[in-house]
Amino acid sequence: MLIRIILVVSTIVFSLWLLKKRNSARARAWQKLLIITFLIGVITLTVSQDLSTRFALFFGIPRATDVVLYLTVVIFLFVGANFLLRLEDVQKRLTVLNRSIALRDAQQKYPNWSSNK
Amino acid sequence: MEIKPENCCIIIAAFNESENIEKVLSELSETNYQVVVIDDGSTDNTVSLIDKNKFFFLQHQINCGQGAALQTGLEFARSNEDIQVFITMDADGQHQIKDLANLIKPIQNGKADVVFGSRFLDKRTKLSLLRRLVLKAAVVFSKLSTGLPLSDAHNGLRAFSRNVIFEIDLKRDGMTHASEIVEIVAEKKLNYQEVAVEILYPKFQYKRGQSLWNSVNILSDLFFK
Repeated sequence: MLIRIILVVSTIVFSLWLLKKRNSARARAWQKLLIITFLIGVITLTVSQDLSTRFALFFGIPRATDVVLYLTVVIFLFVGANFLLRLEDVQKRLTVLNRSIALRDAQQKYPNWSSNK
Repeated sequence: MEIKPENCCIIIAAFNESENIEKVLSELSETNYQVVVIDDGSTDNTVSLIDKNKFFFLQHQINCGQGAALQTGLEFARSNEDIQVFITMDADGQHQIKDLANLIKPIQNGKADVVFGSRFLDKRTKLSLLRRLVLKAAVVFSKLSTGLPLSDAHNGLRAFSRNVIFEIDLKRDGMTHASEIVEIVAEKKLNYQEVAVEILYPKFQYKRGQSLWNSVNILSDLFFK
């Protein structure tokens, strides 16, 4: 049981760190490595029943299929959250661009508006 | 301190407001307030209904949300140092021009730097039970998250003095900017007051039901900010 708790907590903490620092080169590299590792792991565990059973028992999970399911859920949640946060970043940049165009046009249209500075 | 209407700038963010914008602007054109209208990427004929000779007109090329549009308007307005009071107002005709003088008064008297309009300080505003409940829930939520004992947390009619206008830097593009403003006031300990204002709910809004559905969006934005 203890190892499962450690696994869940460390997954949450590490995922949060990756999501928070998502724009740094280090975090981006970690994200890619993790996704590749997860994918290889899930494929291996799906193909090799013996390996998946041993892996499941190591973490105190009675059924091997549950391990694959847990890993799939973790990957899905992580990729989903990462995608949403990146979308939000893009939206913020779009707002800045939109605003700067609007303000630049306004400066040209109303040159006297801020000339009293 | 006497502040003339010419030194007050009304900032209106408009998105697909062709049904109301003309009436709102025609009423404002009879005052001496400076008016800045920001079209937030409307896809109807809102833009063609704005008289660009009477009002300052800014345009977002694509829709970004009311918070983003208001921040654009604030940045434009504050670049003119003659402007002493910055007022945000909705484009849908809910806010009353007759309330503007009262809204500005606490700033004129030096009693506040931020003035929030409140529909709950008198009985003029007619609200449905459901709307009242949703707004009251927002008030409780706002008080819990910021500690400010406001009677109306999501009223778009507010005024800011020049003293604090550079503190207002809205990062949330959508409707949650209202909560963000309250958070900024609480965090920076800005001097604020509430004044009674009347909100008129146009009939079409009940049909579209946009405000109440928006409260769901606002709540989810607050939780996942």
